[in-house]
Amino acid sequence: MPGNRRAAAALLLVVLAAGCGADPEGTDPGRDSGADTSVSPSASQEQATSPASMTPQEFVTVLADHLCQVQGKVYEDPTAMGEAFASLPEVEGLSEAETQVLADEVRTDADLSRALNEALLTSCADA
Amino acid sequence: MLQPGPASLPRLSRKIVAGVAGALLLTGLAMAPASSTPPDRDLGDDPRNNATGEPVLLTRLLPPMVRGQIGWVGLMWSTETDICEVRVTSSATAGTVGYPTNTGDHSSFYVNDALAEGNLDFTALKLATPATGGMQLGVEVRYTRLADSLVLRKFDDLVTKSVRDADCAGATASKSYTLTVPLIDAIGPAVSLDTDQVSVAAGKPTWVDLELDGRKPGLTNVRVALTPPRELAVVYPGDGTSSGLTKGTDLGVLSSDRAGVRLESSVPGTYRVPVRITWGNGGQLTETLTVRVTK
Repeated sequence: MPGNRRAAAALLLVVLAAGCGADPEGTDPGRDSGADTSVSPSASQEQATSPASMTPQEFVTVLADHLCQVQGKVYEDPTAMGEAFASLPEVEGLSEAETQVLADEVRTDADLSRALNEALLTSCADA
Repeated sequence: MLQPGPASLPRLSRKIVAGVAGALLLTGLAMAPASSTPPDRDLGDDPRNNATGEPVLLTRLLPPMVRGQIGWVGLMWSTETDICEVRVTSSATAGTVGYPTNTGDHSSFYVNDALAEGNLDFTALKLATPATGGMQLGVEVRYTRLADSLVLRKFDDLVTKSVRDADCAGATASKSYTLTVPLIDAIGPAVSLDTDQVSVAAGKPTWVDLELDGRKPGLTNVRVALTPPRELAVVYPGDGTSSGLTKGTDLGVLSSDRAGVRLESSVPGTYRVPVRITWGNGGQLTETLTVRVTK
């Protein structure tokens, strides 16, 4: 199991690499409700900015549905389950990196985290 | 059903979760600040919760399982305050509960045994459901509330960060829940032959695998024997009279295994061969295998 977990961790960290290394203090739109969308971000900023096609609040719903589906299955081995919980939802129109940015925002922002927890209670109960 | 019931406990043992190294997207991501100096506050933490916050089980419904099935399920958790040295144990009214091998007598969170306020992680439990009746799980989580809000932050990389021993300072507590495992009965026969056709070349003895799917409990000592036509010779392992399974003697519910047989024929053609599957104390089922003998 430890080896399997490490493998899952390594896999996830590779997947998540695009979203790492950003300063959460400076890239959390959840704490900046007045985000100025009229200003084009620089290339470096673009990677750490949530995609315009989906707000973090909308992503909370998508992520909750995804996690409910993951939780709603029985797995033959814990490694497969770990990988499933570690996976990101596939969102049409969003790249993996953009999805990761949104996931990071949800994780590091207290309001978004709270919204996700509430959505999980609701979505998974209705699943 | 979810029935929380908190209770105080003595401080936890320090022996926790060796080798925790998983990753969950919401907790384990390395989010190192650009500056080497960490921020002097945790925006996700409300220090007013430090003495009262509890872990929250977000899983209200477990996935349905077939009676007799063995499988892993995940319980999702969040927490109202930073917690550390988390141990989750469970007991079942019927069937059994198992834990990851690296924790042995308990489970913890997947990424770490600590969790920052508002973040998510999950607990893995291995359930073996009973062959009859219902199954309820009692789930107890023991934890330490971190007294210092700055020890653990929402953006910490819990894949590598440890919050144990002296770092895990605070009051210990526990909370209990009860969950029902939705159990369903499988329909149809107890076992099925998933391999319906094989091909062998004429004059060349060939070992083939016959795959079996288990559907109901009680599939112990599963054996397979063919009734071939005179043009087809069947040999079993060890020159026995039947074949057993590859992984073991028993076939679990919703699991698969294989039985090997060696087929030989010098007469090309297509043969429909009865396959007799036997198990336990008198269980049996006959399926049909199509054997194509090619030139």
